[in-house]
Amino acid sequence: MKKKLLSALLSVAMVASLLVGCGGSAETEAPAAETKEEAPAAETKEEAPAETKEEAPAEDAAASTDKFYIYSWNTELGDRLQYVYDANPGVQDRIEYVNVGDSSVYQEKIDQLLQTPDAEDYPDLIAFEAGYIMKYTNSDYTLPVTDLGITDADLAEMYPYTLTIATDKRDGSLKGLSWQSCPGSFMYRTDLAESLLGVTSPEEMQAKISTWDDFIATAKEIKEASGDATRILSSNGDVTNVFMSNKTDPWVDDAGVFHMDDQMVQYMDVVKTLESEDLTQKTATWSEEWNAGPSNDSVFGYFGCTWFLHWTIKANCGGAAVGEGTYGLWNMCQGPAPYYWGGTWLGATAGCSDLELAGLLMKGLCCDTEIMTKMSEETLDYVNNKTAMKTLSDAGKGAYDFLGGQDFISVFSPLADNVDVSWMSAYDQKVNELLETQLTAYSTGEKDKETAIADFKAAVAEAYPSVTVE
Amino acid sequence: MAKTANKKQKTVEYGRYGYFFIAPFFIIFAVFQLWPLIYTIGLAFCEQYTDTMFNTVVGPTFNGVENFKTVFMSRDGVLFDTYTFHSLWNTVIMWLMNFVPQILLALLLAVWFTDTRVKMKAQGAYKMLTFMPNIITAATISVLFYSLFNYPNGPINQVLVSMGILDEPFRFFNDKWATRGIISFINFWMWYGNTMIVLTAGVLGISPSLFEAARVDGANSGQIFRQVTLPLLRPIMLFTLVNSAIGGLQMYDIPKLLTTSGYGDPDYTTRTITMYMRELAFTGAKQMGKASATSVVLFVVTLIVSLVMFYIMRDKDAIKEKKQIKAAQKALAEKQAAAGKGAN
Repeated sequence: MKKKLLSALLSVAMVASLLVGCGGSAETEAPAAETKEEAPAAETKEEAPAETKEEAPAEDAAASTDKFYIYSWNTELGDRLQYVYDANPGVQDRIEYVNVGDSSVYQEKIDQLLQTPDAEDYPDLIAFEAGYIMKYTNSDYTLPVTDLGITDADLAEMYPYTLTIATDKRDGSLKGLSWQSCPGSFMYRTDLAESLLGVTSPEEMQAKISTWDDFIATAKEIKEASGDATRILSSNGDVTNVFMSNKTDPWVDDAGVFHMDDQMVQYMDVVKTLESEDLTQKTATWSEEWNAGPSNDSVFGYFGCTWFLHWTIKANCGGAAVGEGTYGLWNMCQGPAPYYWGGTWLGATAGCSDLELAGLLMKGLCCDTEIMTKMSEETLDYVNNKTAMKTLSDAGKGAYDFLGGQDFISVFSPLADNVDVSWMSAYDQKVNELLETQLTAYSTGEKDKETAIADFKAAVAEAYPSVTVE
Repeated sequence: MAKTANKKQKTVEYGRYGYFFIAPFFIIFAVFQLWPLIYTIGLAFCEQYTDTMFNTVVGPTFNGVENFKTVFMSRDGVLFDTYTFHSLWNTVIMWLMNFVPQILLALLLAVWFTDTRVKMKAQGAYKMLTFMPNIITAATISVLFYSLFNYPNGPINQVLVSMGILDEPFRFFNDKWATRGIISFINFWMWYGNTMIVLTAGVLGISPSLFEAARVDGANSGQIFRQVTLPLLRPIMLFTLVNSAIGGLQMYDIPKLLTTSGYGDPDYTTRTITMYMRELAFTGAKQMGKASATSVVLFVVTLIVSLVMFYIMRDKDAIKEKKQIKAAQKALAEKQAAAGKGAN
C-alpha cells in the first residue's frame, strides 16, 4: 500500500512539474523575445522592476503599483519621454518602455496585445506611425484624449493636420497626439550643385526641380555633368513619399471603395524613367549602400523630412562638424511638390490602467510649450508646437551648421502649416507595399503598365475582402 | 469474485502508472496540437477577417466552402490561378531545386565515407564541416547571403565584374530565378550535411558481410552501390524523402528573411505557401478564415505527397514474396482439400 501511494505521488509530482515547466517557459518566452532587440531600452527595463518593488508597500491602490506599459518600435519615443520625466520627478518609476525593435512586426505585436486586456503586459500607451494610425484611432481600441484630461486649450499650439489624422472618423473625437511635425523637403549637396549645375542658392535649386519634368531633366544633367559618378537620388523609392502625399483621393474612401488616381500613374512613370534612364544609384531604400550615400559624392540629394535630416542624413554624412565628411554641405528646398512624411503619434489604449499618468505624459510630451522648446533646441526635432518653433526661430536657433547656416525652421514652418492629409487612410502602409512590388516589376521591365496596375488591384482586393475594387 | 479482487490488491499494478507518465504528452498534444488542428479546419469553413476601416473583427461565421472557392479559383474564375497555388508552386520548385542535388551529394558522400576501400583521411573534420551550416541560424545565413549578393557593391557582383564575367553589376534579387536559385542553394548547403549523416547511419546499418560477399563475387563499386547499397537503404531513403518533403513544403525562414520586403520578391515569385499563410492571417485584413483554408490545402498536399512517396518506395520484392507465400499456401490448402475429398 505504501509503495503504491509513493509511486502515485511520484507520478503526480512528475506530471505537475512537467506542466509547471511548460507554463513557466511559455510565459517567460515573450519578454525574452522583446529584450533581444532592444539593447538601449534594456537598462531601463532592468531598473524598473527593482524600483517598483520598493515602492509597492507605500502605495495601496492596485492600479498604481502596476507597471505602466508604453509600446514603440524604436528608442526615439523613449528618449523624448525623458524630457517629461525630467520635468516630473518620480513619474518614470512605474513606466515600462517596451521597444518592439522592428516596425514591420510592431502592428502584429500590438494587435495581439490589444486582444488581451487582462494580460500583465497589456499596453497603456502606444505609439503609431502615420501609415496605420487610422486603423487604431478609428476603432474602440483607443481612448479620446479628453478622457485623459487634455482640453482644447492644450491643443492650440499644434499643427492642425496632426489632429486631423488622429481624429476618429466615426464620432470626431481626438484619439492621439504627436509631438513632432514632419513636413518634407528636398535635401541636396551644395558643393555638387555648384560644380555640376552652377546652382548657388536654394531658390535657384528649387527652380531646377519645381516640376517632375524639370526634376528628370536635372537628373539627366547631373548624370552627364558628373561623368556618371553622381546621381540625383540613391534609390528609385526615394520619390515614393512625395507622390503618396499628393494623391487626390485616399486609397480607400469612407465608403470602402478603392481608388487609384492619376498621381499614382505619374508616380509609376517617373520611377520607370528613373530606372530605365539609369538616373539613380538603384539602391534599396534603407539599405547599407543607401545609407552610405550622404558620406560620398555618389548621391546628389534625398527627399526627406524633419527627422530625416537629423536621423538619416546627418547621421550618415561621415562627420560631426563642419569640414568632416559632407557636414555643412547640405541645403534644403521644397522640391517638385509639397509633401509630408511620417511622424509618430501617441495614444492611450481602451484598457489604460492609469488615465492620469497617460494624460500627464501626453500633455508633457505633446502640449507643454516649455518642455517642447527645450526638446527641440536640444534634439533639433521639429516639434508640433507653433510657439516653440517660433521662439527658436526668432532666437536664431534654426540656423544649422549642418545646412551651412540655412535656417531649417524657416524652411519647414510654412510647409508644416500647409500639410494636407485628406489622402490618408487606414490602409496606406499595406497598400503602398503592394504597389511597390508591382512597381518594381513594371520599372524593371518584367511587366507592362496595364498588367502591373491590374495585378496591383488584384492584390488589394485579395488583401482586403471588404474593399470594393473595380 | 471477492477473492480475486482481494488478490489483486496485494500485487501492485505498476502497468497502470505508465498511463500517468505518458499523460503529459497527450494533454499537451491535445491542447497545443490537436485542438488548434481541429479549430483550424473549423475556421477554414468560416468567414473571419478584420475590417481595417474601423479595426473591427468580422466573424467567425459559417460560410461553407466560400474560402476554398477563393483559394482554388481566381476572381476571373480560372482554376488554380490564385496566390495560394502560385505560392505552393514556388515552394515545390524551390524544394526540388534544393532537394535533388542535396540527396545526390549526400548519398555520394555517405558512400565515400563508409566505403572501407576508399579510407578517406580526416573524415571527422570533413563531416564536421559539412554539418556546420546547419548549426548557424537561418537568420544569420540569410543576412550573409543578402550582403554577398547585394547590388551594386556586394562581393559577388564585385568579383564577377572584375573577372569580366559581367559587364555591370547584376540585381540578383530582382530576378526570380536568381533569387529562387539562391534560396535553394542556401537550403541545399544547410541541409546536405544533415542528410549525409542520416544516410551514413543507414549505410553503416547494412551488414558489411554483404559488401564483402559482393566484392568476392567480383562486383565493382558501381554494381555494389546499385545492387547492394541502394536497395538496402530504402527505408532510410524513404524517411529522408518524406521528412524533407514535409520540411520543404513548410519552407519559410530563408525566403522570408532573404528578400527585402519579406513578401517573396520579386513579384511574389519566391513567396512560399507558409509565408503566404502568415501574410493572410496577420497582415492586411487578417483573413483567418482564408488562411485556415490555405493551411488545410497545404495539409492535404503534404498528405498526398507523403502517400505517393510511400507508394513509390514500397518494397516490391517483399510484396511479391508475400503474394507468393499466400499463393503457395492457397495451393497447399487446395491440394489438401482435394486430397481430403479424394480420401472421402
